[in-house]
Amino acid sequence: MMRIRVNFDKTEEMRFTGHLDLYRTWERTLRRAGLPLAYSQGFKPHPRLQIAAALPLGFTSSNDLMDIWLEDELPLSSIQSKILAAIPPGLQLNSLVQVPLNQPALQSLLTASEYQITFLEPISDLDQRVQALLQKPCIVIERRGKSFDLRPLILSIAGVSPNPDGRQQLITLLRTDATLHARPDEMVTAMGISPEKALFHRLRLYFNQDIS
Amino acid sequence: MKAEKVLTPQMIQTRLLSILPTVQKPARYSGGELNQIVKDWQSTLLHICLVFPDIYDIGMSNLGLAILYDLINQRADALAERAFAPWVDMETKLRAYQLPLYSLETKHPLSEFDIIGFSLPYESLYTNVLNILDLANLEIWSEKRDEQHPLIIAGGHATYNPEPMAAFIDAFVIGEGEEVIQEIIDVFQDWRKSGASRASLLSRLARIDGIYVPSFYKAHYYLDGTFSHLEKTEESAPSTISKRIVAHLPPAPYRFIVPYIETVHERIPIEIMRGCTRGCRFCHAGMVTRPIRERPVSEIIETIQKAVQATGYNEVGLLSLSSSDYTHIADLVKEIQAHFSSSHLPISLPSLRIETFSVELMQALGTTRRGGFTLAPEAATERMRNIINKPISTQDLLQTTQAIFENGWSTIKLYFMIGHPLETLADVQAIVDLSREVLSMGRKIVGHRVQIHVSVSTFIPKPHTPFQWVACDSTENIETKLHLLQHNLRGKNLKLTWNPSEATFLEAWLSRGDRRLAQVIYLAWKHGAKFDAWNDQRKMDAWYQAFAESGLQPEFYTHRLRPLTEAFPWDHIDIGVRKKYLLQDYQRSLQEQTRPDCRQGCYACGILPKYNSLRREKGLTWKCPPLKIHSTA
Repeated sequence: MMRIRVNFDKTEEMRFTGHLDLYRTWERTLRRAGLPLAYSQGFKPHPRLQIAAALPLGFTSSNDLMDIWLEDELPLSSIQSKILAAIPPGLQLNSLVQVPLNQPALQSLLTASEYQITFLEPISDLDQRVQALLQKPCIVIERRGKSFDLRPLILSIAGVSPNPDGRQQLITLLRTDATLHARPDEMVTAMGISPEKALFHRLRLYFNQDIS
Repeated sequence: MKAEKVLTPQMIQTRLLSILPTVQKPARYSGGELNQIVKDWQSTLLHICLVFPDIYDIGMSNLGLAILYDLINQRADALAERAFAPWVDMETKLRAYQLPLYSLETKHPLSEFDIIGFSLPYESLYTNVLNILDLANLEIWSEKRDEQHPLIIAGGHATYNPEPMAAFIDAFVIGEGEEVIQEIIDVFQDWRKSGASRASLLSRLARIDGIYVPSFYKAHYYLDGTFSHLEKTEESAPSTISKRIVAHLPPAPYRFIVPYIETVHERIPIEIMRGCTRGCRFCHAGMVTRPIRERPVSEIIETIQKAVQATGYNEVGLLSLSSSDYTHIADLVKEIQAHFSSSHLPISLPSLRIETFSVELMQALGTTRRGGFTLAPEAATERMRNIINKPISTQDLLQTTQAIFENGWSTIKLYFMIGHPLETLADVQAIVDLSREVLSMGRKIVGHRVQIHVSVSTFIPKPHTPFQWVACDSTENIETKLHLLQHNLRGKNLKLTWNPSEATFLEAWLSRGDRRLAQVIYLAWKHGAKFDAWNDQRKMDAWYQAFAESGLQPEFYTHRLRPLTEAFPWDHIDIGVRKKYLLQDYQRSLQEQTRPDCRQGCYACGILPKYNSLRREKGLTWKCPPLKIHSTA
């Protein structure tokens, strides 16, 4: 048995797919790659793969992480070339490493996520809105019928220079762990901007220990 | 119309970025899946958009569309892209943002294509065709379009009676599309080089075997409203249009597009056999897809291997109208086991006959027991099964269910129809009795886990079948019969499902309709009818209003027993099975006489002489009837 950590991007073609779609797409990709996937036990055996953090529908990502388990030991270079031959348009493979079988699940080590927000229409007072948001002592929002304070989950927001199309952008670091997580679209809503007017891209994930 | 500015693919793409996050399942509208084919628009001569007029989730599971997509894109001079009906939320957005319906591959508006090809497997898609033309900013009526607009063609099982849609479609493809699509493309390319008019294109198309250009014919009716005849208005058009068939099943496609989102069938579809020799009298597919053509076992195995590699799907569906009749079924199952038993690849074999051998087949395939075992007796008395020509003895049926339970299945699904010709309440009561008998048998063998799912649909007389003369059962009768079933088929371990009778009538008037229904379809759509196949979307009021405004009666089409001498609006479409044969078979049904499987003896349906020259030319690739010989391999 071997455990592989896959670093990948979810790209434009897969923007409008949800977490389960991503999971299924990876499952099929690995099957096409012909890798000896380890299967779970039970009624309907599933290949063992764990994605570090769910990514909402409408988001793209880079440096996303996933662990897969293989029945047999194979050279990493051969695994890489097999995946590259099978990968669909909406995914991009960056790198892969072998990790110890006994390492805790990625989900349990997660601490924060960094997002890039690109606004589709100009927002003249973007800086003021960011400052106003950061100065609030608490931002109570509701998610699935439960209300909670978003403010302590916002670790930082920074304006950056516009993208090549001249669109305004923000980079934000949001807390993400097993109990609490903030979503950048909720943050944008709290700034008084409709999230449909923005594109969300998760840049990277942060963990409480070195996971490579 | 063309006067409006046409949006570029880039403009459409940009607008979609803010629209798609606001609709359900936006990946229906974004394309970009594995195995989609994107060709260079500028350098490819001919652009075809293949449209399945229901949502992506359903259309992406359609094998016919996948076959044509594959074939057209293999040509260097043509490209095929896809479009589907947008769901109502997306339609609202498209209209609000004035975005035209576009293709998934390159986001070109449909109006920019040279040919739009609609797949019409069933009638309840008709209003969606109109809606899609409208969303594409195209004129709905064929006569209002010209050479500046895409050529609108349609094919599929519903188009064996093309008349109700004749006013909207420029040319119909009757029969199997694999070869004729190539001829259509060739003729189109030649015509375009010539710079001639739309009329010239249509008359060139009409000369292709299997192509029906409805504008070259005018329908005449008697004073009582019945159909009289079709008058040719263009000398060169054929008097009858014979369906196209392929002598061999062409290589099965395997590089299927793999959707990112869940669709209705998440599996590799492989057609193992086309056509059916059983002759069930209610079955449209069984009559129109004759003759039998089988795919060799080795090719099926090879296709499964290639398709798994190309798609990563972990399920295979072996498709045919009657799997048990595939000559080498035992070998096929043996080979599948040898190749795939260790690779987590469930294989489904639908449409099995009601006999214990089917249980052995499923057993050998290693099918999971969870989904249950499906049997379709269609009727519960031997008398009724003789009338519909699906002769199975009740004893055989019960032996089969016993074998199913004994081999570890605890769920059996039973499919029945009500509203058969000559059906009495006793025949319907028999559905209750039989289902309960199977239930108590199951209780004895598998105990309290037993589940019987009874699924009941209403019989609809279809054109080109022995029952094309009969009247639909009355609404009152259907309601009484449904009530009887609902009242008596409930309780522990029993589940009854049925379809609403209004859905049935909609399909019934469209399937045996004539050209006058164009006005009804148009008005119904104008009044908001679309997604007529969806129980939560169907607007019957719109249809009844449309009938009233058109001065037509739905009952004329549905509840009228047609005289044996009546000319039908679809008589000019020749499926190879003679009308006289269908009539004889209808008359036999009234005597409760069956016609066994034609592998056991030819009944001269007409298919053999019809395609005799094709058979000779291609070297006897199919036999008719292929008398059943036990495999010695």
